[in-house]
Amino acid sequence: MRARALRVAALGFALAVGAALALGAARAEAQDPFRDAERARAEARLEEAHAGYRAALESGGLGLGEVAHAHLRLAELAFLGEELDAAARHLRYALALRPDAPVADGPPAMQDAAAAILTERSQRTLRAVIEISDPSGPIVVDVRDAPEGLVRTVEVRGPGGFARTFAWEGSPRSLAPPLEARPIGVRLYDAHGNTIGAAGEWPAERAQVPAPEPDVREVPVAPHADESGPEFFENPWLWVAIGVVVVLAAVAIGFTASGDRYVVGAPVAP
Amino acid sequence: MSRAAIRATHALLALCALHALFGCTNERAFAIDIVAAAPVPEEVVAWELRIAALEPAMACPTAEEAASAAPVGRLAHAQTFTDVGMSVGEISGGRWAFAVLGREEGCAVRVYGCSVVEIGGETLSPIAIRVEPVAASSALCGACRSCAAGGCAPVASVCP
Repeated sequence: MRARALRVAALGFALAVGAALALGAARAEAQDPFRDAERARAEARLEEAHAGYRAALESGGLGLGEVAHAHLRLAELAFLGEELDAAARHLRYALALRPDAPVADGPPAMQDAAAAILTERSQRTLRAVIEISDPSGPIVVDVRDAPEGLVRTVEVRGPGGFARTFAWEGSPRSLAPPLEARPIGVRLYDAHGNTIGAAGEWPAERAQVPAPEPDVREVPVAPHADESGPEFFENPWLWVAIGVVVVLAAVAIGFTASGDRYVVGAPVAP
Repeated sequence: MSRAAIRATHALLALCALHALFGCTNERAFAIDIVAAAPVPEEVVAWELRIAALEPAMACPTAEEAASAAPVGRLAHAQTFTDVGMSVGEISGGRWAFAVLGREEGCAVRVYGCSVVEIGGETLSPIAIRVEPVAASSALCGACRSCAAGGCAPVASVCP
């Protein structure tokens, strides 16, 4: 009985390890949003590369460096396709996010345009700014050195559920979060929800509750009454009893949790 | 394995089958649709959503009651938002009041709406809340909350 239980446990462990490895491989692939686009670019399939970078950008959820990379590649492809307006826009976005973006890999026209932009911008990076003149007074949220059209949404959050989201229209916004909602954090998003800037202190998503200290006490170990007797785990009734307890617990949990769950989404201002 | 153990195993399998048949969960998602009956005044800078459980005979709070966080029903959720709010999350089945207030900078209420919704298997999504202009109201945030940029804090309060 014990050998059988061990075989079942080993099989379950092997299945779990296999599933974890497969999941890990899938995650590793999913972690590079530009994998297909980079491959297409390397093989001179420019339309596919363009579509890949666009798709990565439009999927949202990219970080600042990834957004800069996508815009740099789109600028390069647009320069190659002689779509100069789009090329200039993407290049301006890329350099606003990363003035040190590697433009030397691109065509000569892109390098010239980048030099002109960097001369004009003087290596300034897009940034979110929180102006606080009085710790208990209103704050001003501003965005500096942003090319037109790059920053679309500004989100402000603080402890205690304080949250404000507004469309960026180019001028500073004054807010008056209550004292308990400070310090606040600001995040900037592009048109696709990618994060392209941040300032301040973003509140933790969930409060961290310290784990209780384990109550460690020394328990005297009773000597075995009969070392040579039959092993406790070989008793089949033990396994039947464990099975009964497990199944009854599962049934109880299942019936408790069964039924309809009602989930309400986010309100949107009219 | 003895006959008794085999019978016990069969009983467990039957229980598992019952569990598979009846022990399932069905998640239903509801969107919130706030509809303005008239153009929203430009002075409205923040919105407040308040969701309270109602007893069978209870009705929606009035605009004054909702604005001042008066105890009408059991408050389960409240939030202030500008354009898009946070997800409300899970609520239980039953009778609920969904109240929405549009406030100006000084927290005076300019538009208000409230819908009583029976949350259950027959409820349709989205939950519609129609807001209408409110005549000059003296109620601001209530005695236990303070006003800041159109929002009453702490928002999830009930003022006695």
